[in-house]
Amino acid sequence: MRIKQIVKHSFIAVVAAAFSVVTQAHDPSLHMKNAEAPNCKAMEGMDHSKMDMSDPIIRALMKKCMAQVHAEDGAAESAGSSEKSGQAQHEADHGQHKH
Amino acid sequence: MGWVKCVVSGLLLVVVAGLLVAWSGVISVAADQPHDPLTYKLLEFARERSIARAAADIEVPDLSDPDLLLAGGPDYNDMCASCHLKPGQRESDLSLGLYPAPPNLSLASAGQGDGDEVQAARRQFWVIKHGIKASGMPAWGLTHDDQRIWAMVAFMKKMPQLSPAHYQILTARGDDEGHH
Repeated sequence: MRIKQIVKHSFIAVVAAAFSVVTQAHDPSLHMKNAEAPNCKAMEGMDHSKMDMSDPIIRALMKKCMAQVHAEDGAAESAGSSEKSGQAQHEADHGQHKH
Repeated sequence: MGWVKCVVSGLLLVVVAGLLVAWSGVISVAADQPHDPLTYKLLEFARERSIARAAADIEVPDLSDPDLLLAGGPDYNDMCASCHLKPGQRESDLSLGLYPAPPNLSLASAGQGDGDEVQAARRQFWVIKHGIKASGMPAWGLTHDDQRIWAMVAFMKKMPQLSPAHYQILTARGDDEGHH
């Protein structure tokens, strides 16, 4: 009985230790709170005609900055559409108020 | 038979003397007191031979994919840059305080092996994954899978070619959710 208990407790301890190691793993999402955005303005001064598009560094930079441009465009669009829908709602409310 | 006794006694004497020296506390473990050049060379030689032997059979994947740079950059910045520095940086508290001094990986001469790119990649992968005893280099393989480690190797390989502005772009985690 005592041996069974020891085995059981050891098993629980091993599982708990393994789980704690997994949960302590370096998760990129932990860094997202203080993450700074890429400063793609630095790319604007570069002569794009002289860039070697087969260079992995240039391709990675372009990819990163295109992602940022798309993210900014998406944010601007969603801000614009929410502004429009807010305006439409306001007009609808205004119309109801008239009646 | 007499010479065997002599050799065994001699070896015992050496072991006891070594233990006595260790027990006496005269061996300095302070990180701000460097080894004498001979000890340093010997330890460095043993370290490099050990890594070369352990990493000899590691298969190096294609490291030219730009996505690897985008995945490895932010991890390098979070986990390595405080000791191994970044483009435009010459020193940090940790790079000055650690002994042996961590190599400045933003320089082409550091951590790239003897011009053999494959061996350099194997070496870097092994060191990141397993760490190095009593050097301050942790074993990141306990908490990071091989794919993430190879991404860091790919990034480190290109780092000497990066300007500080390029480094900032490739290591920024903002707008980067899709790469992990």
